[in-house]
Amino acid sequence: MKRAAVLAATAAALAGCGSQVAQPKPVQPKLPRALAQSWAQQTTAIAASLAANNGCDAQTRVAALQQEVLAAVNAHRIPRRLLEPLSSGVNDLAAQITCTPPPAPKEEDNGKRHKKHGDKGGD
Amino acid sequence: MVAGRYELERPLGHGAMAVVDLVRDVELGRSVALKRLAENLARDDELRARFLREARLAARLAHPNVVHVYDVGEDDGRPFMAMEYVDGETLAELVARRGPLPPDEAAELGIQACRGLAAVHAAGLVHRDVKPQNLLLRRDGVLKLGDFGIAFGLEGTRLTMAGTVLGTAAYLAPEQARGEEVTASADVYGVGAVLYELLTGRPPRAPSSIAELAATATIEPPAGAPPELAAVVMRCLDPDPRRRPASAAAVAQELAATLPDAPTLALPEHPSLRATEIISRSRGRRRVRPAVALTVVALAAIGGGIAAVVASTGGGSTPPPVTVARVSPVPHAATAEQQAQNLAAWLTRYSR
Repeated sequence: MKRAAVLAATAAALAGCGSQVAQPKPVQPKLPRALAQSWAQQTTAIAASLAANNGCDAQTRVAALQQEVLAAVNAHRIPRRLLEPLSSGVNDLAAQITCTPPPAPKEEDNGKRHKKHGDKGGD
Repeated sequence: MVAGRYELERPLGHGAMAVVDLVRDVELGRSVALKRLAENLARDDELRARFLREARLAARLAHPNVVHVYDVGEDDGRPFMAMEYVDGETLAELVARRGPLPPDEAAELGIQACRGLAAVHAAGLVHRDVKPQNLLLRRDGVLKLGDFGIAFGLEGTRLTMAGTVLGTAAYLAPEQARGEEVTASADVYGVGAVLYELLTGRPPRAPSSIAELAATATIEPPAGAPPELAAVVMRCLDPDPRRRPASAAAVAQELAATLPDAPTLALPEHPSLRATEIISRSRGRRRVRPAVALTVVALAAIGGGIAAVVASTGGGSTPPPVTVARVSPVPHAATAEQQAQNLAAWLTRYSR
């Protein structure tokens, strides 16, 4: 029994060593460094705009980022395996950003003001 | 204006059960697709409640290959769901435009569909209406599984509506057509039917009656497809749900293995569940068979934590195949700011 256990342990150890040698290191697909760094900076700037409650600026920036990513995809610069997560990541971000511009002064306000003046004059 | 915030822009489509419009969400300043139950059906209390219940469940899903549901509610007694607007075309339109697709392209689309379905199943839901018309291909190549709310749990109603059911029939699993209990395996069948159509330009079956639909028919393998890909498709189309691939995630893996360039395989998100065990969270708790769980643990141990796939080349004397590491998606965040940070980190991680 003890011998069998030793044999099994040895076999397992040998199998482990063998498989370690035979096992090739997985290839990690990578983005071109210049592109990835530029996009990471742009994305960090988008996060900063959002932190400053400037959704409109973030929206402009993310639209530019989307265009750059699309251009790189069309130029076949993105490894195939990264296409889907990259485009989904950028598009998901774009979908989450909203731009709510400050309300423009209404024309009615002017009218009301004039009316008030008129009212005052009437008093 | 619907629900005080959705401004109608133009109709996108309508069916017997629902209408879909492109609308402007005036509160968030973006375009969304608004699906509303058909007016005549909105008077049916049960249908209305079911639409809302299932739409709320779908709204919990967040996956790149699933159409996001943003909002669910009722307007003037008519239930609606506001969803992500996918600018592109359905797979039905794609096939109509281009005809049969090259096998690799079909397999890639199938993988994306399976990833979306795996997320649906992991949430304890069954789509029940997987067909080319419900798979939306965005212009950038991302496939989105859509059409929730109608699909869930309404198969009985569909079967009573002549004209509707026959249009969908080619993609229904036989057990679904017979009105038997539907599990996630029916969605696996749907994926098989979609793949079949992508490869051949036509659905696997063209039944002319409901009786014919419920009967088990012989399906010829997709002509012209590589044998290994055809085998995956035919296993998905097996009349017996127990003989189909165990899960949508498993189908994704099998499809990836048919691709020529040592593909990346996402591990099944919930490999311990067989598709036949997922019915619906609303109908019952999910069960995990100990034997299956043990097998998964064993497989994980064998894999040594490396989420990679070795493409089998058949010969024992061939050099070790190249493996490709798993590519992680950008983690989904609750806020845009966090999402931006996640994307920045992802970009840095995948930089050379």
